Amino acid sequence: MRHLIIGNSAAGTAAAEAIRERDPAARVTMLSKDTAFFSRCQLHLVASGRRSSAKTRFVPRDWAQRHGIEVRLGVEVTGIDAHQKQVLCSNGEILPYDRLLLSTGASSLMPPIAGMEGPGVFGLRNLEDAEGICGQIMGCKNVVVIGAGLVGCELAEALIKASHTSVSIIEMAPYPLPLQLEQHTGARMRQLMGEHGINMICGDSVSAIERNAAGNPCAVALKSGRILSADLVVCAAGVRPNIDLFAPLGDIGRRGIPIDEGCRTSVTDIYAAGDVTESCDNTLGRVMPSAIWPAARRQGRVAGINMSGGSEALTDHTGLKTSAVLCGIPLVSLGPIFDLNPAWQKQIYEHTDSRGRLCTKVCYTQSDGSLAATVLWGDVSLAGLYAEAIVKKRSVGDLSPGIVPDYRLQAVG
Amino acid sequence: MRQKIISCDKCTGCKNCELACIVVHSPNEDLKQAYKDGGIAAIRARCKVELTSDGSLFPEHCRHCAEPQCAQACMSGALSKNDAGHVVCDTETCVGCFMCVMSCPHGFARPSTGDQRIMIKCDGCSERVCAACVEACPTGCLTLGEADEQGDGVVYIHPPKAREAC
Repeated sequence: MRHLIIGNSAAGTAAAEAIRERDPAARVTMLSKDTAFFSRCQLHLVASGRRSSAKTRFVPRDWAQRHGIEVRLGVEVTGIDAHQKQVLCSNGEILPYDRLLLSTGASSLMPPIAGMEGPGVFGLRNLEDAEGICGQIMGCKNVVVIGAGLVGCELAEALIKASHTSVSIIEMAPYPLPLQLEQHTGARMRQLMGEHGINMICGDSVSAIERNAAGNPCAVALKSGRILSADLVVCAAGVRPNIDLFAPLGDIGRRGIPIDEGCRTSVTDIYAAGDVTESCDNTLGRVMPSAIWPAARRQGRVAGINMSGGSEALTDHTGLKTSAVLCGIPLVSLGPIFDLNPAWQKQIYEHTDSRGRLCTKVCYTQSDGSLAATVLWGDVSLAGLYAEAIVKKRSVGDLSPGIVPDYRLQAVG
Repeated sequence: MRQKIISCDKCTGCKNCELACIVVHSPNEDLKQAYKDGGIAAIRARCKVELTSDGSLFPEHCRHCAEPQCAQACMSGALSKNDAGHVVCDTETCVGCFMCVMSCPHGFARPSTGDQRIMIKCDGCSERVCAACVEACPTGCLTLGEADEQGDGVVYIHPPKAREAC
């Protein structure tokens, strides 16, 4: 059996490991246009110069040998022939397959704004983006980040921490991390980021990137009419799935390649996993992308098991889980915080821990008592139990504030 | 693989397991020195005896799951299963993203309380002949044995209703 995997990040590596676990004789080839294994979640550390690219490698040095995977990096696949069951590579090579996995990920979404194209404007998705930012940041005075999602906020914080320049973030929503935080914690994060030296501009958006005679960015014009000086712009306004290879072959959904419970696409013997896909999210019961590392690993594993003749399903699957540490505050957001049902009961609990840190817990419960969504601020130790309660539609039970002796909580709202 | 067998009905809540865990995870296994140096707050027991809402004692230990979700969530490659079957964290590689924390359904991947931003978890005392918690258990609640070759690294006997299931 010949397995071909396109992509060498979370989903691709998990699939390769799963195939090898089940079938010692299978031939497994991994192709990627990337030239190294790197963890996408650490790109902000590379961009700010805090971590070398080499240190973001998330698999051991001998990963390929240990698992018997033929890894070919720097090779781009340009086409798939699903009838002949072969792929065409940029170097002219044609590789046959019995089972194919598309774990091609996603790319930065660059909105159609005047001045977006050209030097000095980066996405933050690949090692080249991060190294490009790192290489240019030294001579920069003003950095503007478009979008206060997780990527934008983590980058801004990393740049400020590395004593770089002035950093501004432009966000349409009234507070940063609008997909992960609700009003209470969102407003607090907005203030905290300001206190850390980040110029956080909310409720506004970018109308144009202005360039000087040399073609480099010099300013960013906002919808409100404000003009911000900028010599480096990072666009962190979301992603689009890399579906181009599959688009001529099979079904494409609204935001990715739709996959079933077994990570199969609409084309026989072609599987997909990771950021390129959309699948049913069990907390919302809706088909959507699941853009987090753990979900990509899980999908990759399920795909790998099924590709090698097993039978595994994506159960309790969700991408609505986020963990981050911003401005020194550990945060975990669970469930559809951006799409709250008005019928859910909201409770906010706060306490100060033994080290004097403010810890906040925001819980949304459904009428039957089951937990629907949670934001944990400060103390995230029990986040896994909350995540489990949400996806399994259980009540918080023994975790309800006050019952767990660790928490001496007071309701504040 | 030797598994930790936990007979929950033998737990008396003496917390010797927690204390032994703190001792072996103190610098040079010297709790007294750690206390003198003021570093005791940074040492966290990796196991815990919980009192559930129905009043029973639940000795909570990392399961060293057959399919560890903490390791699956790890984006730095710090978490992996070692040859002894224990899920361990390489603290040099860990960047403290805490995705493992939100992914462990038992709540046993936790942020370190020390200065370094890393996760901590039970390392199974892989380098010891016998896990410190097992060695210290006076009631026979914690023992080592071979129960199920395919399963998790920890086997529960007569567990009370788990605190997450309600």
